[in-house]
Amino acid sequence: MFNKKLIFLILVLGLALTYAWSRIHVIELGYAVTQLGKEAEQLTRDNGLLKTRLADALATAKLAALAKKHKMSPPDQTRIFFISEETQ
Amino acid sequence: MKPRGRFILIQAGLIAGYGLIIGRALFLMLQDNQKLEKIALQQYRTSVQSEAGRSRILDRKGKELAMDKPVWSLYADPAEVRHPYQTSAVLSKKLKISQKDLRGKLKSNRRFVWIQRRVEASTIEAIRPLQLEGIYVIKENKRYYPQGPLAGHVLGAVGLDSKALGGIELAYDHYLMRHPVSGVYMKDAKGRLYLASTRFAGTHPKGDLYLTIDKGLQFLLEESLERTVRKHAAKGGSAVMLDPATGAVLGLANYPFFNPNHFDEVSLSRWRNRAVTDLYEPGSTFKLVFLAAALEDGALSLNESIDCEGGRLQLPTGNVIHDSKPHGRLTPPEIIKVSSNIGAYKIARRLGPKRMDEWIRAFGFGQRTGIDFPSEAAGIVRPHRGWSMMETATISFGQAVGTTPLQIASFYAAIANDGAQMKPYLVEKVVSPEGDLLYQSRPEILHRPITAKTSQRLKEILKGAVLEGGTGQAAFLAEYPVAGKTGTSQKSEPGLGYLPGRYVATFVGFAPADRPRLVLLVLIDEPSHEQYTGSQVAAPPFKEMMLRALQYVGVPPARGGGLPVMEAHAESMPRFYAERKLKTDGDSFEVPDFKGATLRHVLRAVTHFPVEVEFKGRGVAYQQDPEPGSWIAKGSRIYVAFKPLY
Repeated sequence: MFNKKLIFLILVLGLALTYAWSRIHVIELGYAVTQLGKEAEQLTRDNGLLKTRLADALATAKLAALAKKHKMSPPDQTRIFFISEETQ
Repeated sequence: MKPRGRFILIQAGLIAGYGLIIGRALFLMLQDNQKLEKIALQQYRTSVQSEAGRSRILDRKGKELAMDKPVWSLYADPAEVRHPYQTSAVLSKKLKISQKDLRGKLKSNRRFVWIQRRVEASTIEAIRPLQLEGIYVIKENKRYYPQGPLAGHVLGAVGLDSKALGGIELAYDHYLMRHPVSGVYMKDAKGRLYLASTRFAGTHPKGDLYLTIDKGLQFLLEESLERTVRKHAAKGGSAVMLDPATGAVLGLANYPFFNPNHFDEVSLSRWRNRAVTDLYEPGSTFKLVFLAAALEDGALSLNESIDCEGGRLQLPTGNVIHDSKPHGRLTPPEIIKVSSNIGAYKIARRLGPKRMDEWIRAFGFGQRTGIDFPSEAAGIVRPHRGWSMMETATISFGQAVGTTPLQIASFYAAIANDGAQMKPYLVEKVVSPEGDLLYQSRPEILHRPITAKTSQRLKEILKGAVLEGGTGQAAFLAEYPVAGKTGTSQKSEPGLGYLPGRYVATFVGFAPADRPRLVLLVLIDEPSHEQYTGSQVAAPPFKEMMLRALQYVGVPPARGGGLPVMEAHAESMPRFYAERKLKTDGDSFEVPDFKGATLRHVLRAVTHFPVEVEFKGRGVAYQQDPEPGSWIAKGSRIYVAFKPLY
């Protein structure tokens, strides 16, 4: 009889502790997810900033100015070769 | 008291205490108390709003024309700023704004004042370490145009809070604008967020906008246009390039340029996409309307000769019309070639005002083309009942009507496209971040005013106009046959009539004339030197733009010029290219041998199969995983490494 009561109490206590642990774990994970979300957002913004810098560096006007600075010019008409692909 | 009695008393006290608490809790729970519920929710829930943003605008090849740039906005809670003088002194140096204004803001009685919006990352990095009391930052997005003024008039502009102000940004705002989205988070006693929220998505799908504009073509149009305007000390200019087969606008330039990054530094008149929103008298480019009409109505033969009266014709009303040079009898192709006003009038006269009016409208003049751009002008065409004899005459050579440059380009595109006038459009497609196609434009025929036969005859006539003796001779290309027409019109102002010395010079045409790929209109507004005609001012830049554009899009030369066209044969191409058929079995397929194939060939091979392909390097493939001959399932990943050819 005593053993049954003890087992029951241990079982109830165990369940209560498991429930409490799971709640704590969920909250901990919540903090982690929120933190990761923030980091992801920051990285996305950093990535966005880098993309704008890349696009900026590749702007046609800038490339054209650089080409001109390095004494490059559009190819002479006789130096353009048109290759017609055979389709079959 | 006996121990047992004390125990019972304590037990009873505890039960009564708990009973009270439980009773109170039940009372509070069962009572409909919204106020208490609100207080509770405020304690452990909070709403966080994402920043507003916009999707990208890309050219037809996917190059960025407009994108969001992360920026920060600084605000202050003046109640928390204990040293407004020192804080304003520090901030004014970093932000380059007046210290006095800042001090005023920091001494304000409000709890929220903007210090500066849209601050760049480098400035924020300089301010953050200072840890100024009462100064906070908010993450925002600023619209950024990495190409600067390139296609600025087409793109439009975006103001604060990502709000579209004009151009394509405004026309396609429903696809581009990502409104701020709220999410509900749980928070702890210290105010830290600890549960990620479920965000509420917007109602309309968003995606990247692919324009029909080609960045490379746009650049060469703008470069040449700017040079021409400067050379002739003109007021401005426009250039419109269309694909006649579809109506897609490949390039659309206006000078002076408009840089949407600095939209607030220029007057509103600089914003206007004048090729679409502004009217001008088309001059001699309009003569083709009545030539096409007369041919279509059977009122004219190309072999007959028309007396051009020696360059001077007096109308029964006493008004006189002139040609720039005296001409005798000319055939209709010769009338176009030398651009005789008298000849054009005599052709149009055969139709009569009513039929002229009908034909003008049949070609879409006096109505919007329906291009997907805001504020398009419809043009001005007065009903024929009000036309005087002189007005009928002047309309026949492109005066007393108002058209946009786009309408004229669209009209010539119809001639180039065997008579089918396509609706011009600027947006090719909208693609979601997941790759789903949200919108795809479809070429649409607006009108089919003339038959292919008439179109063919007009092409031949226009080819003649750029040959020796024609007004458009300066647009002649040795490498490609060109068809086109010059136009010179005098500008007018209400109440003042035609203004001496103020002209609009135009050239419009297409090439290669036999199988037109590109239609181009070049307009120069008020060239101020002695040269002011279409043939002197607009034809040379047309020639330059058209030649470079045809080479850019890869149109092989049609004649002369000595340009070689090489034939590529299957045996000279990588082996894979010749055997690109995939072996499939249900949801699986046999991995082909990619070795020797270019990136394009690999992509082409797997384009209809849902596999991920990872690439490394450039040139030709030399390694792959899985090995050729392996069977892989849908969704698998293929790794292909490339090495340079030389």
